[in-house]
Amino acid sequence: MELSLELLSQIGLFVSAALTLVTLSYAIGDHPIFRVVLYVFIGAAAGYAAAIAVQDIVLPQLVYPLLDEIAGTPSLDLTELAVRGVLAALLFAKLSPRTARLGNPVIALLAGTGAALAIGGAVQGTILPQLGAAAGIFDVTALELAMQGGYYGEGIQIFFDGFIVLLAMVSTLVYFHFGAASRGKQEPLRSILVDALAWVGSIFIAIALASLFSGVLLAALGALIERISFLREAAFLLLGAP
Amino acid sequence: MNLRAGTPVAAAVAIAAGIFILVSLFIPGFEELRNRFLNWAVLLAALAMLLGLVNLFVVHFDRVRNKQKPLYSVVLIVAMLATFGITVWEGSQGPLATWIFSNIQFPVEASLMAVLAISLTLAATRLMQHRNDLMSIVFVITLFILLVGSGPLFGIEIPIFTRTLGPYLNQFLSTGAMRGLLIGVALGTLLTGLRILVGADRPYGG
Amino acid sequence: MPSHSAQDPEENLPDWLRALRNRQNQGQGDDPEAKKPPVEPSAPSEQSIPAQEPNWLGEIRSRYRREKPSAASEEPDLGDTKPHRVKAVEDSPPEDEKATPAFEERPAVVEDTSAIANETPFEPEASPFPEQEPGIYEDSLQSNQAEVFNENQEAIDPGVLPSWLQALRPGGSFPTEDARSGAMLPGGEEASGPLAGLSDVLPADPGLPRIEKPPAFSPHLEVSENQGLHAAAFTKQLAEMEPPPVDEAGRVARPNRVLNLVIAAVIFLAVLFPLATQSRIAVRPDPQLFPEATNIHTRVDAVPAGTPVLVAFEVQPGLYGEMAPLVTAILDHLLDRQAHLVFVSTRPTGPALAERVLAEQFSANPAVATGAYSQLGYLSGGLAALRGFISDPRGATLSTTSGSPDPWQNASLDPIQQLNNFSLVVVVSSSADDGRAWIEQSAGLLPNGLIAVTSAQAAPLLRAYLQSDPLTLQGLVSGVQGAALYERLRTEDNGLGRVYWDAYSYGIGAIVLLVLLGGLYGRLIRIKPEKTSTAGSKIGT
Repeated sequence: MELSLELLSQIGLFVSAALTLVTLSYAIGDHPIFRVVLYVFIGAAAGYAAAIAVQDIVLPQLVYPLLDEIAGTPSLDLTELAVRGVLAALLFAKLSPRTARLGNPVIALLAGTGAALAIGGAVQGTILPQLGAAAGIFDVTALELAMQGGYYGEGIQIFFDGFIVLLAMVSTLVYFHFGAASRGKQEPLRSILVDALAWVGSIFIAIALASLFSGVLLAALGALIERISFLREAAFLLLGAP
Repeated sequence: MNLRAGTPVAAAVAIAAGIFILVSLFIPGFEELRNRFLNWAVLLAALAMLLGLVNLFVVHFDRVRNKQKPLYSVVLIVAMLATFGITVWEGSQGPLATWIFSNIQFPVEASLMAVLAISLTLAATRLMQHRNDLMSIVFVITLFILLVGSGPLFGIEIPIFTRTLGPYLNQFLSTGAMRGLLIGVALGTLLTGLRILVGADRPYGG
Repeated sequence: MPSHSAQDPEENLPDWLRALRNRQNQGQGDDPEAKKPPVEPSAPSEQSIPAQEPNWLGEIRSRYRREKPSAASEEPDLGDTKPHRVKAVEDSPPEDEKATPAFEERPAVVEDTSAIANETPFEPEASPFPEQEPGIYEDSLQSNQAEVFNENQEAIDPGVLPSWLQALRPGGSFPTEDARSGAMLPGGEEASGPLAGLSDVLPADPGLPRIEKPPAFSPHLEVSENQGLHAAAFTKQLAEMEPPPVDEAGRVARPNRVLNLVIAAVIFLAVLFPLATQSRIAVRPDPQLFPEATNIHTRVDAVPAGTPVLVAFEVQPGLYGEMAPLVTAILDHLLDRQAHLVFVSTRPTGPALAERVLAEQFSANPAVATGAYSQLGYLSGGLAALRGFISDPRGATLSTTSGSPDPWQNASLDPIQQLNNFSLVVVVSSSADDGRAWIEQSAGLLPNGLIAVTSAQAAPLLRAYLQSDPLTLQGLVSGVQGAALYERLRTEDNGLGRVYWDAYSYGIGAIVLLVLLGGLYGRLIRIKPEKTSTAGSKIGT
């Protein structure tokens, strides 16, 4: 058994290194072997995720209680089991085009629940805290202390920092505002202030996008370092080098 | 608001479930019932994942039958069924399931991410080569400052970037804009969610 | 459109024509064609010309008469290729002949045929026969002709036309021979070739055909004035946006492949060199510049020994490599504090990756070796599952309820009834969305907020939560830079973050150089042809 596990480990190392090399070779260009590897990956990832869901949720929450019920040793309230069974049956009705409509209420339950949670999260977790932070963006206490102590430069710096953050936030929001006031028979026009803020907003959005881009690039660089490190170690292990 | 006829049951379920969950988030006393609802949603999500697997199988099985690049589809089906079967049979902590995850899924996904470093460098280079508008210039300059400011280059630190410009960009300019984006995203989420809750949008069909 | 009535043509014949016919019939008593209908406008004679006909037309008629042999004598020679039906059609009387002189009809015939031939296949709405398909029209025409000339024994059914000739007929919608054209220009039909026997196939005068215009439909949408103004404003705004250059892709296609290869090779070598040489020259980040990271260090340092710490392990396999050094540093710190680690994940791969990092980096740690940590497993169901867990950690549906022992039976977890019973909540997230979901759903339930250990790609978005009010996020550390920083805070010099830090430094250096040099090179090769073309144009002028 020990031997087979070690063999499995050696094979795994080889397979892992080979798959890494094939995938990295995509940097030079697409090729059929890469495609095959990609399809293997998609299949394995889908199979793994579904298996986890079945093994960890579907079996213990639905199948095992059902079997217990059949065996006469109920492990779950019958009403609760019936509800779960009906929900599952309705969802599986989606498999056939003829019965697909029966599954709509179940999907609706998921959609309604998800929407409510998203609303709650957005309001409680983002809108209120972020607006609260925006309201207190100027560190008034520090500003007051700086001015009282004669640290005018620092005071200006505090004010300027707060102003920049506020300007960035407001102008970014304004950039996505496309409303314009009606002017009778004339073409609707955005106000000069909104236009100017939107222009400033475009600069801040470019900064934000560059920040996201650099983040992804640095994350990918980290992943590349790990892969190259792994390949180096795998080469030593497989070739028996010290 | 455009309330369409047809499958009123589905719409009623979505609206009722959504409003109940929303109310329970802000008004105490409904926790137990809400958790029961959420548990049903969890079970349904797991079953939906299984349905997704069935759908993927059917799509690729059809491709094999119609001889549309059958090799790729055969490979996908075999990998999918093998992984699914083994993982369900011996559990996610089983030796074979772990082997598949560690030696097939993990290295490919990690390597795909690694390749992204090269692709994004190429993209940045091309942007530098071909774009002259204001946003592109601001983008490239910011990117340059953030990259140089994220660490020493070839072991050599450039303090103006790592200690002044980089942190300032991260903590003030970028964060301010990100806050604007976050609030925008949250408002969009709020609007989309409300449309579902009043039945104006029905992503569940009907 | 020429119509061919089935009514008896003799009924409407004028007196003078009736007299002419009688005379003709008398002269053709022995002719095999005698059984033909008496009306013979297509076998005209001098006598059949209306008196009011102008002289020039009479001359043309007589010239045609002289040049063309009689139709009757030509017929046998043509054999199968001779469309006999045409002869019959020529002989047929037009229904409206009495109302309109033949010469006035000719342009109309041309107009109609060209309209059918040219327009019908492409512009169905513009067809002059909207109520009938061309084929139907042809059939009805033929049936009418057959009805009119059913007494003619020699007349050949349209089906007799050779297939190759049928195929040559324009569009299949060309109407069959029209009697009036024969009346106008006797013998105008083609004598040989594929159009033999057909007359008026081609327009006599290219200028004459009048192709009917298709009915015009207004392209304008019916919008209100106000809507129109808004649309114009929006269009203007769109027009002001600078379009991306579209002509560059083709020009740079070939250099890109080389550039791709160069970029890949340079970055590979730049990363490999410090790893191979185990370089340690790059200075790690200064903690003073990252107060959000030092907050985490302070919070972890304050965790009481033996208390449970929730670690939400939301890591994708793709970014595990990047996050492993940072996660190792944080978990190492927590384990040093003797915290009881409790793992949970809303990603199917999360628990497996958490186990992987424990097995790879902490297999020698007594807490890990003895299994003194809890794995709550995978929370399936996205936001619903997450909210369910945050509201009621014990009641949430968890994967490890199948088979394996219930993690909640562990005595260390006894105090946990709510989320804020954990001494610390750490979100280890590779994506901003996962981190945001945890922050949003736990808002208001954790007085001190949570701490986030993220990938470099998630940090820019999540950083905004550091300054929220009420507090939702107390600390943030991210990426390889965060790992190097955290190890420095812990005075750890041999951690994975330190090993990666030089490779990271060289990698960034290579990327910055490549972007700068590649960009400049691209600008240069773009300027070069412009200069050449400018010079060329100067020479030219």
